[in-house]
Amino acid sequence: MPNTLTSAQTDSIADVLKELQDIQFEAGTTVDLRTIAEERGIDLGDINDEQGNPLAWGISYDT
Amino acid sequence: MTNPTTISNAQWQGVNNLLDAYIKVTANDHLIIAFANDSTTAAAWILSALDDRGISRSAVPMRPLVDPSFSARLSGAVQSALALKPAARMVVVTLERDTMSHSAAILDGVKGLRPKDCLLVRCISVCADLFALALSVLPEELSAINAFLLNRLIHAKSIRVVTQSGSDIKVQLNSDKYRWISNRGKVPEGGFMIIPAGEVATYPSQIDGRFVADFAFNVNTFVDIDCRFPATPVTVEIKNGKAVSYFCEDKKIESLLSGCFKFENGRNVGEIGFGTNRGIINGTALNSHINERRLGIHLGFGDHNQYDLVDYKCRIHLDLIARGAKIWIDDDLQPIDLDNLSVGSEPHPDNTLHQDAFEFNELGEGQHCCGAQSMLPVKNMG
Repeated sequence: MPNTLTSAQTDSIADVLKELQDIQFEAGTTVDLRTIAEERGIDLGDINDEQGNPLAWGISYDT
Repeated sequence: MTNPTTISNAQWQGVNNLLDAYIKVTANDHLIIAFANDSTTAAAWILSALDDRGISRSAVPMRPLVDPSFSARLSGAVQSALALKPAARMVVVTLERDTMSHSAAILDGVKGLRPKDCLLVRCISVCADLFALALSVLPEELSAINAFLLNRLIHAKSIRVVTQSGSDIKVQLNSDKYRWISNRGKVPEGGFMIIPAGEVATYPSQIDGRFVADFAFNVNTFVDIDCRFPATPVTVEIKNGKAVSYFCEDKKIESLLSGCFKFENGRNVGEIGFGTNRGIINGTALNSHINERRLGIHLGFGDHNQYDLVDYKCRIHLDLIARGAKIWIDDDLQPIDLDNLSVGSEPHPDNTLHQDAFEFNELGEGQHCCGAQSMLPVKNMG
């Protein structure tokens, strides 16, 4: 496959992206990670900076 | 990756490398692209490339980490594809940026297929750089570098590693007991392929010295800060396998280290790894496995990569990554210089693990493991 995109391929990507957005909406999979972490029960306390602002939170892998 | 029409030639080449060199797609394949919301654009790129080739495909959306319906969606896609194309090789490609999810559901989705009839590809750290950088290097080159390093390191009793950033560490290895991981974009039938590829790693049975990470970190939590160390390296003093002190001028990074090291066993050095992917030069701001694939050394603090061979657990795994390294093996006078590697075509050892970010036993219960002979996967390793 050539490594440069044709305009037809660019159009194709845009069409597929629309397709994906539709099935995501239908499946309800567009959700914020913090919301998911809260649903899951965050199992790691926030790691904060010196001012108390969060630097890290949650575990990002299956446990 | 918000506007798919801005895909660069390098990114598009990475998409095609993934399909041609890593997955080796053929007209007999059916590909299922399972994608998290953060990887929708990448999914569109891959699906479009498949459409160009006339290869059958499905798309399965997934919520990261928690998605009770994902298993049913994936199984449904597999069964629908097999109904139309019974002899197809089923290739499941998962795409996630910040997470690694649904391992059990993915295996369940292909349950009943013979190993030779399916391939499972887990793309993590999905972003523009994954395609433009990490996937610019092909499995054959990664395999050659991994083989070169493993054929020397597996037989080593001790190594000394020095970096330009100021690291000088001494490490004892025990490859009779502890497993080596080789992530190179090639897996045996039934195995999981982890993308980005390009690393060898094991557990250091003893490690002491000063480690200066001047490239980046990668941690198994969500973080909202730039993970590179462009001007403020992290220095860690290690004694008897534990971080005893640490310093970074960037106080946010130092606070992150402090938070990670507070966890029980968080100061343990659980991994020594060497990145082998020449495509990664400057790294990415993302908390990402891409950075630790760079040619260089990384130490993983906290959890280890040895499943049940090491008798502690830790919920955190923090990789600190340095650019390049010179490695002296046992009494050799000439070091291996990761910045100036010249490798041939040595056979790759066949007794290594092939993934470094995985958490369950793909071979099933009851498999025995011991040292470099084992094929058991390990968990959460960077």
